[in-house]
Amino acid sequence: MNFFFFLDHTDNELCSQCDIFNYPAARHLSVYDSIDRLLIAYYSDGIRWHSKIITKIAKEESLSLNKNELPYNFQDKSVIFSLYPETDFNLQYPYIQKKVKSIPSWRCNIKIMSTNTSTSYQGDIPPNFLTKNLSLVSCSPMLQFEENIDNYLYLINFTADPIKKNFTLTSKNQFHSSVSFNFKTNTINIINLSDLIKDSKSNFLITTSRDHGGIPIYLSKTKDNTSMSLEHTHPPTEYLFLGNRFYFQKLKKNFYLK
Amino acid sequence: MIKKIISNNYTRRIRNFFSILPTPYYHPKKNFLKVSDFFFWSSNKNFNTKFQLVNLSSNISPENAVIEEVSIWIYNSDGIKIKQKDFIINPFELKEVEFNDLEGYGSFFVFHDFYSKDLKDKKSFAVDRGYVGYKKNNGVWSYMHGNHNACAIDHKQNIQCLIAKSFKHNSYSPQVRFNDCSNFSVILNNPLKSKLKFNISLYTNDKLVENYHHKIKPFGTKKVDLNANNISSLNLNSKILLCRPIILKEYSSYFDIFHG
Repeated sequence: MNFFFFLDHTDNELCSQCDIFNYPAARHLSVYDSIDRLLIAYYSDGIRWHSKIITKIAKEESLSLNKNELPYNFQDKSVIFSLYPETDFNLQYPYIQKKVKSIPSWRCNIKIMSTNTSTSYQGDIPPNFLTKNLSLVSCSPMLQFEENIDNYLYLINFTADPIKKNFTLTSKNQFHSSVSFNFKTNTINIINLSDLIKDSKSNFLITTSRDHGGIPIYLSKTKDNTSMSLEHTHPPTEYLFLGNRFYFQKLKKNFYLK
Repeated sequence: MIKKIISNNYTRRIRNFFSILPTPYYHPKKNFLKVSDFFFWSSNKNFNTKFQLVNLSSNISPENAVIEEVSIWIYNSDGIKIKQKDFIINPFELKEVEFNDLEGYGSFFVFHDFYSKDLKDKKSFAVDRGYVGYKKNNGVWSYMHGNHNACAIDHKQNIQCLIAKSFKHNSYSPQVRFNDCSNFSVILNNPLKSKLKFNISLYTNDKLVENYHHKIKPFGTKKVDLNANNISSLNLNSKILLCRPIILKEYSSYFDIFHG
């Protein structure tokens, strides 16, 4: 079963919500048990994992959960959660429940809401992201340059190890204008890209990290939060159909990370 | 050898017909080397669409990126090809292709002339699953990426649909709820060479409240506008194995669009 997350933002008007489903999108292409499941949330304090059973979702049902509905001590933390059978969970750490296979991936609608609109995408963290050594190459053509628009990059990184490690992310554009950011593992990292954009308005951003990866997500919004856009970039394999797609992922990462 | 037999198109059709290990896509036939998603466009005086056309070889094997010829085939909602736009795109280049010269809605393919020895050796196909932006009035471009392997073409521009169907109907339930918006649309296109029938079932608290039947012409697109009043979730039924729609939700100041 995948993990899911809330997208935190420094703008107090914005809040984060997830639509969570206790069934996959395409049942005929999935292997899963139709059972009640517990929604368990986790955060790391840098030393150990903290967890809480938030609620139970009946089989084949769904719910919407706002981050501000979580217990008070979770509300200012970077939180991930997943769904577990009542007989197979662990509160000590983000336990990977392996008996679920789903095509397409089991997702949750991950949303940022303002007073007058919302933006979302169908998101998840594959369980192997917690256990693998990842790197990152994210190529985005989604920056927007109008004066009244802010652009942000999220990097969602969670590892099985609760220690929060620092790592560096570098973003550069076609004109090689480059900025480095300090991010942390086990964190919903967010950075305002305005400093990079103001020098050269190149709408092709290449963001890399040798040390850690995650889910790169791009948020653009008008300053008054009346219109917003949210989308992640594809991993390199998504530009290939069939065959040895990971060969090409390696080629691309070798090129950008060398 | 066994893997080759169970994964060829003939076996895939049998598997899908009997729903035994169904598979959502077929392999491109020999010489059908250019693969694309079937992207949605919509354009009127208040709404525009933009495709971020990126050199595909730079995204796949940047060390050996090449100049590409790219053809965008644009269809209207009735499945009639109304325009073809051709481009030359350099390595690492980005071109922004807007649709404000058109009126209405429909879908489009983006075929890149890129097939390398590496792709042949690794039995892979490059596919454009790029980013489409949608904009209402002076709002932001709301981006959505491609996520299907819809069709392939050969050098004579013959088209092959890669989307698999089965004998029985299949259900798809987008993992999204609708009780936070006023209205929403379900958008589905048909990259098949035959008509596609589908049903939309709407649920309130997981109880069925409405059921609608629709047909889409070959290469056509259907945008079904619905009132979100008390609708919590929906379900699509069709013979396509992965009947994944686009969802457009309307809010008081803007909209949200994403793959369901």
